[in-house]
Amino acid sequence: MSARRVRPFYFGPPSRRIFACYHEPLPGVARDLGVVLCYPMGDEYLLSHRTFRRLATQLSQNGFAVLKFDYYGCGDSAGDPEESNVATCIEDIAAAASELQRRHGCRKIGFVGLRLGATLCYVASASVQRDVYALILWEPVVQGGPYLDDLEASYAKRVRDLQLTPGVNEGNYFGYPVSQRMQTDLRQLDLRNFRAKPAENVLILTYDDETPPTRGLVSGLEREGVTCRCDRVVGSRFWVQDVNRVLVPKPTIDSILHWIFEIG
Amino acid sequence: MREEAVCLGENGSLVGVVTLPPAKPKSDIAFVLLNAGLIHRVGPKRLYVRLARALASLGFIVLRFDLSGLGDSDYRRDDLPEEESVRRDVRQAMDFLNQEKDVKGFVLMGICAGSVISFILASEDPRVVGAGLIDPADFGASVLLGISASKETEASHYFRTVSSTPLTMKRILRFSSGRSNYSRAFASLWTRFRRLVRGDRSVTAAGEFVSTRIRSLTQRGTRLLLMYTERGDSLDFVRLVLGHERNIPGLGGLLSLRVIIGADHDFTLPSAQEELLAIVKEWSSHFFQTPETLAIGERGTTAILSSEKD
Repeated sequence: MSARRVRPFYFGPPSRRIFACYHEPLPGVARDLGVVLCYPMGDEYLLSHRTFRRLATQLSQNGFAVLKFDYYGCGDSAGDPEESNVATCIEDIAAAASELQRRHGCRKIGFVGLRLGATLCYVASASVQRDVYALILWEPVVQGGPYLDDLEASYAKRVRDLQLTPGVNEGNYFGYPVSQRMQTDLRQLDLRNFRAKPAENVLILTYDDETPPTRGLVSGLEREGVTCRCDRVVGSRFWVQDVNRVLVPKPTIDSILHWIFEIG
Repeated sequence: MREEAVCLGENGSLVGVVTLPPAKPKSDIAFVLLNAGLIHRVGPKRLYVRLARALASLGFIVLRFDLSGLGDSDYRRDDLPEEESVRRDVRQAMDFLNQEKDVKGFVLMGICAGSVISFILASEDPRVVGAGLIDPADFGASVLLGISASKETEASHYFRTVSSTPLTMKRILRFSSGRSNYSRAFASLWTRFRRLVRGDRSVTAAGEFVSTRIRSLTQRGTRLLLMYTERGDSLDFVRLVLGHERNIPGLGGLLSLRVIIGADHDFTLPSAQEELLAIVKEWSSHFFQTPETLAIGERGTTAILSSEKD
């Protein structure tokens, strides 16, 4: 059996331990680009775990150092979700990128984010994280408000379908507490309002590239001089399926790999 | 409370997180949380993280890890059958805790598939002194004996759900508008009709399997906690094969049973999550002893056991 190339670990100060898995690149083909994977949140996080693991494995087998991590208050990381907001997530993304560069020594950094993870790594790239080489936004949440509205509506439907009776203060997002600050942050968030150049190269993967938010995002990026490509994804939205029936979207993973190879 | 990321098993291929109490552990019995279906070690709604932290705050060591091929754990590269692979993974997790953390006894716990694995391993490995089973489906009857009562369970669940829903005009309109799941209704009716006409040997056999296994576990001194969500269909299985959950052997002795009212299988409501945590925390107090003293206690103390009766 080959030596294991996945290292789970915690990093960060004792008061703020972040869980991560480092996927070491295959020796001999190691490249100068490290990729940080940014998960979505809530049930979408659970449903995308297997896909992210596959993506991390394939990237590392092709020579890219990969770090996938859990935001503070989510997954295996310390803390509770109530302590999390957009600013803390941005901090975590920047810390994860530094940690990857420290471990691997790569000069260039890329991000792959799915859904809210794409939104957060976009914001991180456009604000605190400088010189991002590659940014892959997989079905990004362009506007936070409609995203929360959708979650609330789906939650209400589930409660109705299962005849659940939530208590007075049990308004929540599918069993995950979301802090008031996070809700406010997300309601104000619209990626089209960012005027900074988030990365040298951007790939947007979306199921519908004709929606006004996506078109607005693409034209905004092009105005900033970003080399931007928008590809339509085929297949199902695996992050809303039954967890025991989720299939890893191999064609999309292949698209990501091809694009990363293309940009070098 | 501290959390450590660990690699365990052959070649360190299994990934997990050990949650340690803030001070010296108060027991040499540790809890091991097993994957709920394909969900990785954080559990549905991050419940395993919360369970591990709650138990660690009481003084226990807790390991939650991914079985081979799940979460971040590597796939096995041998030809071991799946059931054997799972057994080996869980045993290796227990060996790891024994060697690295000086743990002597184990409480296995899980939701759905995790509880089935806990039940099977508890009946096979004497190091297991307790098992916390949350919605344990058919307790592994279909995997181990090839007995499946899934259609009957599904039919029972359907009728229970339908009968517990008030008959409103909205429901009647919905049923007549073509938007109801007629195939499910028909399949449930057909299953029930067939069972009435032909009887059902698989239901009887599944009932015997569950009773026998539970009896032998409690006779060995293994403490069991059965937790059912009211909206899940595991409760329907036990009602189907044993008539009523009250008929589970050992109830009131080493076996405790709790039904979490208003909870669905995914623990969507925060109140259901809180209740689960409270039940497990309360039950865990039985394990503030070593496996040796626990065994002596079970043989000699009937007063404690009878006080558990619901």
